[in-house]
Amino acid sequence: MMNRIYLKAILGGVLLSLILTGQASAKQEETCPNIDISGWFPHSTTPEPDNVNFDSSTICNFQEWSWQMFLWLTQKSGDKPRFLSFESPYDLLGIENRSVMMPRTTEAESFDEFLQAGTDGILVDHNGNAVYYSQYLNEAYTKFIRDNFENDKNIIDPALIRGFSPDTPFPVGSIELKASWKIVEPGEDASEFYTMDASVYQLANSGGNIVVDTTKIRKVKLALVGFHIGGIVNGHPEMIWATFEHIKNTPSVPAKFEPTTIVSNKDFTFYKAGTPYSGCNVNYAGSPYLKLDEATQKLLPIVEGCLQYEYGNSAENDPILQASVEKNDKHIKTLNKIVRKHLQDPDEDKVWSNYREVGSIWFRPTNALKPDMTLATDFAPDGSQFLIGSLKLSNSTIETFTQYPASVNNCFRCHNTQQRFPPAASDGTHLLPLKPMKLNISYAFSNIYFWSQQLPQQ
Amino acid sequence: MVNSFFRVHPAINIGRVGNSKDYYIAPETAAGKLQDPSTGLFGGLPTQHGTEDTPIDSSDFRDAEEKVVRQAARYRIYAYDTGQDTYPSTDPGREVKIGDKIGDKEIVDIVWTVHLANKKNNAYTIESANGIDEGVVAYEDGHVPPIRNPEYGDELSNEERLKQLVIDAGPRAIKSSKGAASPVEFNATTACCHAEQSGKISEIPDYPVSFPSDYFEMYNYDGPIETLGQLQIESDTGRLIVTGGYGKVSGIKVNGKEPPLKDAVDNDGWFDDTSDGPVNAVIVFDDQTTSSVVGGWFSETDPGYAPQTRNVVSVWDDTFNTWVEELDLVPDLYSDGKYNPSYQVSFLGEVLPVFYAALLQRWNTNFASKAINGHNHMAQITFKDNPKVQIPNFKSLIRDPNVSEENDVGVKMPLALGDAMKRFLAVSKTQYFMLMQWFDGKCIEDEPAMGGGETLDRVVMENLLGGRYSPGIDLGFIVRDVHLFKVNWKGETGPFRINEEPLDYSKVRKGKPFLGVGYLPLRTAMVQPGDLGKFLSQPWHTDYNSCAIHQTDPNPNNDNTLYWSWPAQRPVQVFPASLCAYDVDKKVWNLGGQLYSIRGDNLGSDNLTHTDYPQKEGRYQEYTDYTANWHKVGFVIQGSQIKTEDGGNYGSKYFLEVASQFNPTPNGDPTGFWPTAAIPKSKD
Repeated sequence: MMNRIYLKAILGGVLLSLILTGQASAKQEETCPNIDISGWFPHSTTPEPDNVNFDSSTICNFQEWSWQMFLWLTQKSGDKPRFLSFESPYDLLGIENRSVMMPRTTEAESFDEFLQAGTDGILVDHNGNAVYYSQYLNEAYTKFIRDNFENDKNIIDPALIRGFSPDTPFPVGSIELKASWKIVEPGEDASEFYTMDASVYQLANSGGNIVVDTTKIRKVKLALVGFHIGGIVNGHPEMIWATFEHIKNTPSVPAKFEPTTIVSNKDFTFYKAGTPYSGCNVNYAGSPYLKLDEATQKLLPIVEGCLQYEYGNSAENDPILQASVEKNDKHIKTLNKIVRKHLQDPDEDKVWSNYREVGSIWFRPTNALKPDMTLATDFAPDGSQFLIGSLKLSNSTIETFTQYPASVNNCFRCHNTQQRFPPAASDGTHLLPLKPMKLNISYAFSNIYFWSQQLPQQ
Repeated sequence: MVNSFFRVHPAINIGRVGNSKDYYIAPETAAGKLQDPSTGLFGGLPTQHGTEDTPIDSSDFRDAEEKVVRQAARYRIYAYDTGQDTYPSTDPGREVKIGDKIGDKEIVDIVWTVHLANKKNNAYTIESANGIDEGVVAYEDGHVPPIRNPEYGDELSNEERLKQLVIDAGPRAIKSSKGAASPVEFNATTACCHAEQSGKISEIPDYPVSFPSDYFEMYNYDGPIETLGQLQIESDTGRLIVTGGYGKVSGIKVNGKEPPLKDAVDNDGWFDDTSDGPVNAVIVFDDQTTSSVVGGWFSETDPGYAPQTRNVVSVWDDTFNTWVEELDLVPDLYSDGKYNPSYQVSFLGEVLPVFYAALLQRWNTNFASKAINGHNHMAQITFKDNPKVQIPNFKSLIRDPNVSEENDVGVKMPLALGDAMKRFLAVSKTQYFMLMQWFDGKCIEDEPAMGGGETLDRVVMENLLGGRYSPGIDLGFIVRDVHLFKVNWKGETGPFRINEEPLDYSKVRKGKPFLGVGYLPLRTAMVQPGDLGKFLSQPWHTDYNSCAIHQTDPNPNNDNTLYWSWPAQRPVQVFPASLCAYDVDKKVWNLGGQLYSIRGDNLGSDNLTHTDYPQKEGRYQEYTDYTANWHKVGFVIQGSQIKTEDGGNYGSKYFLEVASQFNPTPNGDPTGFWPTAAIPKSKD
């Protein structure tokens, strides 16, 4: 059967150049941007993308949406970028952090997330600090959750989630975000980063694991190094998944490589010049080699990071995918160049010009999201292309350790609509799983469901 | 005459190599089944030598000299008053020993005969000529794979091949009445003998005993192969105990030097000292009459490095599937070519062991928390729970063995490698049917009643690796072939009996090989000593070393993700007990991180297991280094069986590595978490 599918794929590839049917390939796309993007600038005036009237007909449209959304989210709103005013999943539940399911007691939220999703990996930077992560939900997202899942005591009720229609998607305009943050050491030059004063929970050795110490907070300056955007637009309840990185995070791995390949002769924030590929993205988590000095909060060994796919795609692909991949990467490269140049204008906050889009990924057909989709391949059951855009998209600071294995090397491999098994509850109770639903595309949603089962009020 | 039937149980039992003369008894409880709910102790642990059912603890894996203790197979005889026509038998039978009455007769002796041989070098290769491990398919339509050691003749029946390439220790007999006297050796200096039907033991002075060094100049690891094991009688019980070889490996020298050892499974000229063969007995009564006994089988294989870890698919599952679908074993479950949709499955017998098997995989693999959480959830499900609430998408989660397209779907469970041209492992069709019956509410809690003998038959096979026979670690793909078994099982014989060829030792001729080609899949030839093991690796060491993590095969889309070959029986990533830390305040032990089970000594490039290629992690990079160091590998055992001053033991929720002889400080490459992926080599 696989051979038959593969044959279909090859035939499809041949046909693709003749008949570009369906979404994102119906038009000739010779240039990108294909709209006048001067209206995005200055950054302070970038309008929110039109999610409701989003046009799915070209790949460029998705990359434009990604960049415009990044600009809008990072646009100063009050005294900080807009996304920092969004609620976190913890805010939605009114809890302090996931380790202690207690009501919020402090005004400011301390970051507690340092394990990467999927692999439990810890990205240890060159100063020995763990990279921390934070999540944000926009009002459309949080309103949907509150409207549908809060009970009469204004508490998220997991029973309401269990009874919810699995076919209902998030409303258009819903956004979830994940940011990665590097701790800035005193005296360290972070002028090229967006930075903010914040606090993180300290780390501690406990039970053979490295965990957050919910009793100790570390005041730090954080530098933004990575930024995930997941947003629902017209026709795409699966979300457009886009990711951005600081340009000096990591070098990109060449298309042809071996373990001995020197990925770059230059230093990067997470990479030491001359490190061979075999030294990149080594996951020390779960290993006795990984040590935390609780007093200094420093971890060893450090992780040398490399970006496996510069624009979220490999150079050579299945023939049916190749044309869209080449177009996608070309568009990202062009947009990055144009937008970053705008951001270097004297009137702009130049720090944002130091970030670039790695890529974005979405479904080729519109309104194709269903419950219980595995999204394990890039193809539909009939052999046609189903996923499109950056098909091997990862952020080197957020998915450091899953960039390469084909089974997990893009957003949808994990962000699917299968059921979710519950995590271990902090009090040892047996939580109930989450049934297959369209909403499961959002890990923030599944986390909210599991955390809601552990709230002391329940 | 007596009106009872007698059978050796278990029908098949497994010895395991060790370089110690000591032994423990093969497990008589099933891995993946909760043995003692009050303590949380899981089954699968071998029994301490000299005890009825005391499970071993962490101190029993090695002897006083730190050598690996062998696993012995213990056999009993059960008497049945009625012939069998159902499975399980309505007659549970009873174990009989010297002094027991059968009707008005008293048993005065049990005379056992066992014949051990190793035919690995006079067999066909595991890989077909097309380079594919096809399993039984390779023997279809009169075809066979290429022959091993073709330079010694191109037919397995070639007399020189039979004489030189088969290790044949011949038969040995022993009387239960002799008690725990000196063991009887399967070596060249101990006389071959067998039990006559009268119960008399007769020597066979002309038996053509054959060991490799009789014919070849051998390159030996840990000395020459001079024995295939021993027979002895268990004190007080009169049961038979069979111990096998010592893990030795020996190759025919090439130009006076060590021959190449480069392949994972087919290495011409290389012998190991594992073996297999029939276990027969004659019961002698006080009136000097005798009764024959339906025989069992002994087979020796790799050490049991993780005896409590059940594979999601065991040899039992594959064998049961074969018997259900092809030999009318349980008509209520399957008849007329289809499963009975009204069949009520046993939650404790058929469903929960699958969930527990999933739970236990984490101790031999590098699952991240997401997978661990899922498996933990499944293992917490009880009979009273609503399946559709606990695993809402169970039907799309479990790979359906009836749908060939699902062979290729890497997100379905179980997530391990398949065999015989299937990318991924699937539960057997019988397992799948029973799991879905549970999901649809057609389920009872308890297992059907089963006698002690039949329980032993099943338990042994539950502890063996099934599902992926490339070529397998305990028994091979032959368990899927009905020709391996006595198909007329009703009446005296009972199910799961090897289709043993009656060996007429009166036909022994000096200097002439006694054993022939024997059993081959899909053929009618009966099974001789050595015929089970010859479908396994030559020697076992190379396959054990190799079978850590691999890409799928076939791999049409060139998926670089690495999956486990044998995650239950071949630990890849382990949690050493020595790295655990005791929490004084909470009075509990905590895990201290993972290392590769096979991790060599020293760090980085000085470590013989080090590699920059993820697909080669967790093994020695040269097979010869594993053959020299196999006995250093540690064992995985439940924490409650590991004594310690702090807290008494490590607790039943952990399964930890003990008794590793690799350097005690953390060493080897870091394990990371699954998934890892293969890096292409420049020549690939």
